[in-house]
Amino acid sequence: MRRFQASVFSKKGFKLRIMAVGASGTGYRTFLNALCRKTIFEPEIDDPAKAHLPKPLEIKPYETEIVENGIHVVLTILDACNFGNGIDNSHCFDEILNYIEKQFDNVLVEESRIKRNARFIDTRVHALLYFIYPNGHTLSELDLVAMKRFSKRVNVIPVIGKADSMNETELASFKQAVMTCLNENEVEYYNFPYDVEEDDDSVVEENKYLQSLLPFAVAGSTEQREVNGKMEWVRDNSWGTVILGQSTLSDFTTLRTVLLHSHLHALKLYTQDVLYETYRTERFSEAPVPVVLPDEQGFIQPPILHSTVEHKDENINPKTKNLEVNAKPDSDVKAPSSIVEALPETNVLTDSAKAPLTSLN
Amino acid sequence: MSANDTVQLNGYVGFDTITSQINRKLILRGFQFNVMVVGPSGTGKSTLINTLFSTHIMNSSGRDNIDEPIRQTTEISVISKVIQENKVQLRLNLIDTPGYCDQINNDKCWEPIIKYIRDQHALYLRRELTAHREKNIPDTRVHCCLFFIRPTGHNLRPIDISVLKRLSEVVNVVPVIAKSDSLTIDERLAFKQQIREDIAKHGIHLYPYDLEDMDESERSLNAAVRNIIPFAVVGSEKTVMVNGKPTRGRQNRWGIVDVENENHCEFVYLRNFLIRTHLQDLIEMTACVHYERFRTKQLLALKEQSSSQVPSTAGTNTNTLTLAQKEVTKQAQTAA
Repeated sequence: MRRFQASVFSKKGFKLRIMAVGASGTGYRTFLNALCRKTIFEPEIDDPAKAHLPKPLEIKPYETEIVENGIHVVLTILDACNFGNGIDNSHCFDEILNYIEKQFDNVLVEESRIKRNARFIDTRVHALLYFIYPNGHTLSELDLVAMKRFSKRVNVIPVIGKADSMNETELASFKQAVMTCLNENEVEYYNFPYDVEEDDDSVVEENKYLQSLLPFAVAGSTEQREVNGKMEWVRDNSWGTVILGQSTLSDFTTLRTVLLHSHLHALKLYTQDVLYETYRTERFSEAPVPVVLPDEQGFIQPPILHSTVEHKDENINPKTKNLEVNAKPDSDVKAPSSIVEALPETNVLTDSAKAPLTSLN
Repeated sequence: MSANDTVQLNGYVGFDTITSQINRKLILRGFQFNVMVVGPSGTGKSTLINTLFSTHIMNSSGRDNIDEPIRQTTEISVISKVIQENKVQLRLNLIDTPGYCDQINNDKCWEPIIKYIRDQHALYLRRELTAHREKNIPDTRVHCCLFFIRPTGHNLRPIDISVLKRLSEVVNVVPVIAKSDSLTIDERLAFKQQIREDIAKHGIHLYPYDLEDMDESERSLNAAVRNIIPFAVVGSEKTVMVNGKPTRGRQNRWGIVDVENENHCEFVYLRNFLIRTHLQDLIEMTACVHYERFRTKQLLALKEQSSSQVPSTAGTNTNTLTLAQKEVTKQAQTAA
């Protein structure tokens, strides 16, 4: 007889979905390759004839598994290609925000079903690594606006890419400048929150330390070499060798541990308990009155969502610019018919919508 | 001078001292060199200029704290300094372009730059056409534009290509890879190759130019320079000790980058090219190629306009000249 193994302790590993956003040249792809210890992103061969053409922003998913030393993570990396590379970058933010909110919408609809899909795959983004170009002065306007907008919907972890181009003093002052800029502009990046009363001392210490390290300064590499008897990821220059793994030299190892080990669950919990709930509240409270009243057939229309949602597979649509994005749902627009069809006849929203009727009005 | 004209001399005349006579005059007058730096914030423009001229002349125009307002457009700021070496006086005009490529929407961020370059040509032309013109017209035309490229390792971005195209039509452009110590040697070679292909594919005409009347040695020198373009440089104003000798460099956690070491970066080549071999050529090319092109266009347009208008009188010299000056200013403003 075959033995069925309980899948409670996920043999497949913990799932983590992170998005990587950075202009080309910040080194984020090389960093991600180093993070996963394998080449996920091949070096791009760019066609010179097409160099002057603007490339649209695309979000491409890559899945990989990391198994080592007590870490077993199924990591999905969402690469936001061509962010900030155009002449006019004012539309870059919307594409990414739409994507993140769409994943929330998927969960929102799924939660609203009476009969939920047991195999529903949660595609919410747990963390967004925002790569800052080390220009040595302060945050550029693009970076600031981007992080401010993204941090409302996702855990934004600011990262300085190609940090090996700066020496210690420059890096320290740049980090300071970036943090001052973020704090003064009230950007809610993920700052390793802790509760002094509830958490262990060690957890408090750890989070305080991580707060002081922000933004993480990393460098990536594509080469491994033996250094002092150990295989290390290195960057060889004519004046010296950068060894990525040494935590005294760059924050690479710390960030890796944070993402894959120590704060994996914290990031997911924060996404679920705070960011998603905030989004959910916002969606329901901005729904206009017709949503609450039943129509002629007795259906309560669900809140207007961004796109048609299929309840089966992951639906990552990189070309989100084809979709109409309405920040406030139009009261005349009904929910797409496929949502109504997917939902059973008696809508679970009926009961929950009746109760707060008075408070919504 | 054809072979038939040359005559053999029977004794030493001494007109070969004309070179030293010219030399003396020129040294008395002094030289003028105008350099513009174009590049996104944080690419090390001011540091490179200070390293090139071995003195602190330019202050960084980057935003160092958030209290400074974000520039909404490209600004032009000019610093004028005089430096002297062995009795030769050089008046430097350093033109900085803070705010270039710093906004979210960088459309048309190059326009103030092109306008400035054209304005200097227009100013010179106006002074040339004045009836009583100065003996030595002050030359504010931009002789060289250092274009800073971020060391991304990929190919040129659409904005870089767009701006390079426009700049190379009005000024001598020398592309430079900034902060190149963030690239390994292999990455640097691949990046340079990529950039050269991009430049070739888009028909961008960079300095140095080969003119018809150049001889073999000049052409080969230009070819050698073209092989190194774009220059991968590192700038530093700080002095570090390398093998007991003080030199300018960057002290990193992993080693010391020596600015003057040819194996570390190409600063030495850039410096030699810009200052020791092609300084005079840059000034000359600006006058012969870019200024002439501008002048021809302006005067032709002027001629067309004045021939289409009905001349009120027989047109005295002063009338046409003032008309020319007004036209030149107007054309420069509309063309920019």
